[in-house]
Amino acid sequence: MASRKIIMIIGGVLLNSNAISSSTELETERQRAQLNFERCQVIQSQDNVFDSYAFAYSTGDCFLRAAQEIMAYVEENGSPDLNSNNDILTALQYADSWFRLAEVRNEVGAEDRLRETQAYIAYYAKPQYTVR
Amino acid sequence: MKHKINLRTAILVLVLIHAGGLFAKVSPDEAARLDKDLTPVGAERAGNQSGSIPAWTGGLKDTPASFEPGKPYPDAFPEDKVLFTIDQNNLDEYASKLSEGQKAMLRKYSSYNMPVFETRRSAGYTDEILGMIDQNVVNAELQIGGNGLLDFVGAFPFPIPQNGLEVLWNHIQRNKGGSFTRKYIHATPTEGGKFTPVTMFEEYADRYALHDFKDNQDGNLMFYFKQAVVAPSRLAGNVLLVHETVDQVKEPRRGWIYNAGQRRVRRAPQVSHDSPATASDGLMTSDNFDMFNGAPDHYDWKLVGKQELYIPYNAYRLDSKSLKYEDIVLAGHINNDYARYELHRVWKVEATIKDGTRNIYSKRTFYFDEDSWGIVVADFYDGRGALWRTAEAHTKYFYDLQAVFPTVEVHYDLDSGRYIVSGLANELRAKFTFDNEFETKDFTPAALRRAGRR
Repeated sequence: MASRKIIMIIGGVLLNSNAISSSTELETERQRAQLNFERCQVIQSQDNVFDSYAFAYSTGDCFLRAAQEIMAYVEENGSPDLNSNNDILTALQYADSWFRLAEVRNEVGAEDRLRETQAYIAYYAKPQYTVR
Repeated sequence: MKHKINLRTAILVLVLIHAGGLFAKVSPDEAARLDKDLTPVGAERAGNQSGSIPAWTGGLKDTPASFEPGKPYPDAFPEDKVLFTIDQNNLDEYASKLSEGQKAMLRKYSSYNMPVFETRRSAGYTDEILGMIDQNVVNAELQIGGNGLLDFVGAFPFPIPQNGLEVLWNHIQRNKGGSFTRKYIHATPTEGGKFTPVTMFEEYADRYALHDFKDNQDGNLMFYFKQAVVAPSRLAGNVLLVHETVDQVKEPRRGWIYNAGQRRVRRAPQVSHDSPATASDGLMTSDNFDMFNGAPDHYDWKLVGKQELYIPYNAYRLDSKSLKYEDIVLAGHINNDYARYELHRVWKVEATIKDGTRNIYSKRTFYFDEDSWGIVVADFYDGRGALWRTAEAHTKYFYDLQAVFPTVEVHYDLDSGRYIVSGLANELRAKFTFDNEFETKDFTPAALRRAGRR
């Protein structure tokens, strides 16, 4: 009886530690995605004169990848919540604005990336004017 | 030959324009309207035809008897009752006097409403401000490109504006009382309405309001601003310092951040335009703060004209100390049962992103209150041209200061369904203090470090 109790306690501890480690992992994954988004913000602040359209493309790409990382996290770890949806949309809107700028000067690939970004926005933006 | 003359004339006109400011000043005859059909700040003195907007008669004359300086502001109109409420069921009836964002919120949420009260043109002005306007109306000009001001003093540079940029500058340079400190919370509720209040403490001083102000020093500087996060503990100690320049194209805004974790002060050039605002969960950009701030250089500003609009105004009820944050911050939107809407005349200005530049908002529509020049309602459109976000500034008249100023600001994201509400102080002892004796040393990077360690 006593040994059964001990096994249950050990089992419980192991289960909890698994849960803790997996939640820490998830948290880290999500945090990493958020940090990448913040890194893109720092990058975008380095060019306020908009004289390089290649820079515009790469900054747009940075934001799109940050959005995709959050999307992947959401896909793998349950249903999307408003917070994640907001983070995805915000990153996508930044990507959209940079790809638009790159597209003006026909930067290679910008048009395709802009189209891809807009498809994501259309998907993640909830239909407007829905009645709760 | 004819072509040559036209070309010469065109060049001459361009040279003349570039020799001075971009736009013409107002003639003395035109300026005299401020004593006749216009109010001293350039609003229409008369009421509207239906009588739903009254004439301006000098603003709120009597300070509520129970008011004590430094204490919360009692409602200046406690006897006023709701005239009618706009909601999903009757919004079509009032659609011509609502912004696109207001209509979108009403359509999106059946629980969203706008209680409408009698219009009270409470705004009044100090003699000092009126003196500044008298000078500005015949002297002030926009710099080339519209990114700065020439021959301007204090507040309200363009009481009789000729274009959208001049209207915007009236908002940027409206009367904020010279200097103030403010403590408040902001909240970014989850889908279910849960939130962690983020407590902020701000210090603001116009350049000319500093105790050690020198007219011949730092002429391109407009004001100083310090914003510290006080709570929760995971964010506390982070402080932002801004030296706001007038012409931000000539000299960008000077920004520093003190990071409590690193215990370091570093330059923060990213605190401008569309970078995310402090602790806002990405729901606000830096230039969303105060509805719009900073350089107008990324947009073309078109003055659409004037119209009547239901706007948040005289928001004393929303500031009531009898309310808890939970009473106001709901899922999806704030509790407008405590808001007060009134019909006022507003200036409508559309800002459209310039070619060769970028911003997450491709277009913004702003509505400026005619009596205070503050932006009270704004709509924000994304790169596709779809309405994305909408914002309202719930303003009130600070009767001791004689200035209309936002007390609560709300930014709604129509796509994600989230929002940020800023400026709540219902559970704090005091919100604003005015007439602080600030000096230049209070707004240095060293002061930033001290503020972070408090």
